[in-house]
Order: sequence, then structure tokens, then C-alpha cells
Amino acid sequence: MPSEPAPSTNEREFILAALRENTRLDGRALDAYRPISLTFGNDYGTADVRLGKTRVLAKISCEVATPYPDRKFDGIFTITTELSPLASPAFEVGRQDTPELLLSRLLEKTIRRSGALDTESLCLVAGQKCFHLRATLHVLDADGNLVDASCLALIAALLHFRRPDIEVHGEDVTVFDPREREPVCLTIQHRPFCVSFSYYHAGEVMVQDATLLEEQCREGEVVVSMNRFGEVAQVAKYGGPPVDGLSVLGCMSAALERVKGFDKMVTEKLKEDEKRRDAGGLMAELSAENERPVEGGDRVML
Amino acid sequence: MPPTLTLHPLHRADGSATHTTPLFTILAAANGPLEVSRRDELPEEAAIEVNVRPCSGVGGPRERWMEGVITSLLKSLVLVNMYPRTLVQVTLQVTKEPGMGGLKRAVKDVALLAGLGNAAFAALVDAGVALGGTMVVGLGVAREGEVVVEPGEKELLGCGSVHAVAWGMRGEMLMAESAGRFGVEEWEGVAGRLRGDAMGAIKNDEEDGDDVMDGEVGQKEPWLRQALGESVRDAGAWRETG
Repeated sequence: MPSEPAPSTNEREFILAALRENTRLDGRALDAYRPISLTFGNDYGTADVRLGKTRVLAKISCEVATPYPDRKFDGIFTITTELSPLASPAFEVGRQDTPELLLSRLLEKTIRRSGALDTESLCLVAGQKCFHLRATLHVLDADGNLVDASCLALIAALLHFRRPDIEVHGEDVTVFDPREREPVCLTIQHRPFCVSFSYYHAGEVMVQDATLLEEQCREGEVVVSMNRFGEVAQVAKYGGPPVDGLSVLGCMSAALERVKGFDKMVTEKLKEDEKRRDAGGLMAELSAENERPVEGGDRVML
Repeated sequence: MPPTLTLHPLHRADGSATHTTPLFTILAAANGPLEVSRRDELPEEAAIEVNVRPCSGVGGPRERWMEGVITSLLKSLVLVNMYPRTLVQVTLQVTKEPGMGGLKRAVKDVALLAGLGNAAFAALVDAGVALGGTMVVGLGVAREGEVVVEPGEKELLGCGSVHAVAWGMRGEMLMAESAGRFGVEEWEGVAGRLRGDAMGAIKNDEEDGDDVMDGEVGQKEPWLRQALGESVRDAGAWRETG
């Protein structure tokens, strides 16, 4: 299996020299992202994120399963990331190599361990039945910054997904078909996003959203995950030269700005998608949820 | 409705294609010829590796079986002798599948095979791998003596048997997979109909196709020829402007 061809010495020197002058090959500013596009599929729980030439497809599915015996009140949530030769011939099938391992570990830390998804809400009957939520990430094109694109796709897909509605009577559980009852949203407690920074020239130059070529030339990276309130889920720095503490603080504030942008984009896109689905204004009729009084809304009449 | 084919949706793979039918959407990528691992190396021909990746989760025995079927199909198509001691790698990613429950797995698998075959072929064409000819995999269902080609979810749910048959450009059968209950006559009916459609999908508009089409039902627009012709025209556009 061929490995990713390393950039030639000339290429590398050129990129590094340009970065020293605060210039990137594609003319972006050092802290600029490539154009991001987020589209949702026709089915619930499908999100396609394009970040320049990088493209990630996230898909959520769910089934009824038995919970783990040591976690009786929790549903199961698994994230599968498998890099395939679709993205690049260098990715081998069935062998977990470093980029894949790092990607799945970062997503695990950012989304699962930060408690973004309320797994308790996936429990049906304690110790017997729960939903098994499966998130699968398909990396279709790898042109750098897989982590940010994957995390964005995953969060967007989770927010877009609807699980089948259920009814519990004692120990009997009825899972309703989407045609019988409108499926319901997942309980997402917060939305963490990853922002990665690449370091060059012994930590002097910091770049956001590196392309594949820039990633191959970098000395180190810092990945920050946080939500729009600035709550940090994790900070990772894998190797590379030591980085000044102040510079990491700079990363944090830059990440916060970026995350706010991501959050806004996802919210807007979700709203658009909802409008598209709600063609005849039927959604409100289909919902089985009780109406909640909206604060400041005209429904509160006391 | 004929299937839609988009060539080269991906940037990194040598060749790629998206194949969309009412049932499935499949994204295929072909890389080749590549360096082959010592274990798979064949002294006189190219090894073909097919990977089928399901919509959600990781592949199991069913995907391995489909990989086997597609591998042998592609082996009869790719001119493997032109690339000795190399690897032609085809990755097939299912990106959309019918959501309706109650579909038998065996039926779904055969239905999927048709899409996988067409997508793999288009990706190989896009990758510029030398092929021995053109092929179309047709999907048909038989239901109480009636034949429906290119079935949707509803037809698939109520069918007696489902058949995926691959036809080469000279009218030779390259693959035949079926599921369900059926007799020889029923099978012949479906296969004949699919052959007519396959010939229709790759027929040349400029020529008079009467010699092939005589007496065969279900002439369709040449969707495959159109899609491939377009990509060839696009690839050669620089010649005309320069």
C-alpha cells in the first residue's frame, strides 16, 4: 500500500518561508478557514460537511439493545471512524493507523466524555432495554483538518437526528414507526466543536485549518474543543516543540470566536432544513409533545 | 427513471463515481494500479481488491460476500494482464439506503449488488483503468408473473424474487445473483428483459441499433453511454479551445 507522498524539499521550504511572511499558499489569512458547507440529507441524522476539499459524511442510526450491566441507566452511544481508501489511497482498510486513532480519540473526548449527549435519555427500561445510538463518520476526501470537519459533521448530525418515539408501560416498551408517530429529537446538552491549530517555526507561527500540505510541514498541533460558552472540553497537544503558555491562551480565545461561528452556522442550517421539511406547516400537528409555555411569548397568559 | 451517474465527485481518489437509484446511493472510488502487498501479489496479473462499506457501522459477513461477488465481476472486466504485480482497489461506500423496515436482508443485498456493480464500473472508467468492455448491472423483480425493472421500495417489499444480472457490451452475462422463490422460466423472463435494458443503456444513438434490439422489450434511453460520453467530452474539451 502506498504511503502519502511527502512534499518535496523545495515545496516544504517554500511553504515555510511563505508562512514566515504570514502568507499561505491559497492566499488565506493565517487564522482563516476554507469555505465551509453543511448540508443535511433527506433522512434524519445525515450531515455532509465540506471544508475546502475535505469532505466528511456523518450518519446516525439507532436500534434497541441491552445496556451494559455496569451502566444500567445509560443508553449506548458509539462513534465509529474508519478511514477508507475513498479519502486517500494511503489509508489502508482494516488497519488502524495513527491519524485514525487520533481522530477517534479526539471525538471521543470531545463529544462522549464531555457529556454532549445525554445517554440517560436513551434508556428505556433500566438494565434491560435502551437505545444504541451509532454514529458513523465517513471521511470521503482528506485534505487536512479532518478533526474539525468530523466534529462539526458529528454534532450537526446528532442535532439533526430523530429517534423513534416510544411508550413505556411497566416493562412493556412500544417503539413507534416513523409513520405512526413523529420521531423525536435527542437530548443534546451542549455543542462542543474542535478547532485545531498548527505550529511552525518552533511555535512562532500559528495557523488555523491547515490543508494536507500544510499539515505535512507542521511541527506541532494543538486541538482545542469547547462550546460557545467557552467551556473547554479538552485541549490536546501531541508532540512537537514546546509552546508558550500565552500562545495557548491565544488559541483559546481564537477557538472561542471560531466555535461561536460554527454554532451559529449549525443553528441556521438546522432551521433552514426544518423549514424545508415543514412544507405545509404540518410539523406542529404531528408533534406529540406537550406545549411548553414560551418565556416572553404570547402563549403565557396568566 | 434511469439511474443517475456522477463522475469524479472526489478529489483524492484516482477515479470516483456516485450512482443513485430510487433505492440506494453509492459512492465508489477506484485507485489503481497501486503497489500491492507481498501477500496479494500475482505474478502475471493485477490483484483486485473490493471494499464494501455499509451506511452505518462496520462491515460484516454480508459485505464480505458482496465484495467477493463484485471482485469476480470486475475480474472479468478489467484487463488484469496489463498490470502485472499491481493492485486495483475499489472502495464502495453506501451513502443512502432504503429506510423502510420489513425488507428481507437477502432481497436488499441483491438489490444493493446491482448498484455496487454499476458504481464500481463507473469509478474504474473514471480512474482510467484499462477495461475489456462496457457493462451494465440490471435489477429486476418478478411478482406473480409480472416483471418490474428498476424497482422502488414498494415493488421490492412485495416481490416474489429479485434478480441482479450483469450484461457485457456483447450481450454476455457476467454475473447473476437472485433471491426469493422463482422458476427457470421466470428467471429467463427477467434476465431477458434486463438484457434488453442493458443493451439500451449502452446503445449508440448514431447507429441503427436494430440488430441488437430486435424483439426485445424495454428499450430505454442510453443513460450509461450518455454519462460516459459526457465525461469523455469534458476531458477532451481543452483540445478544442487550445
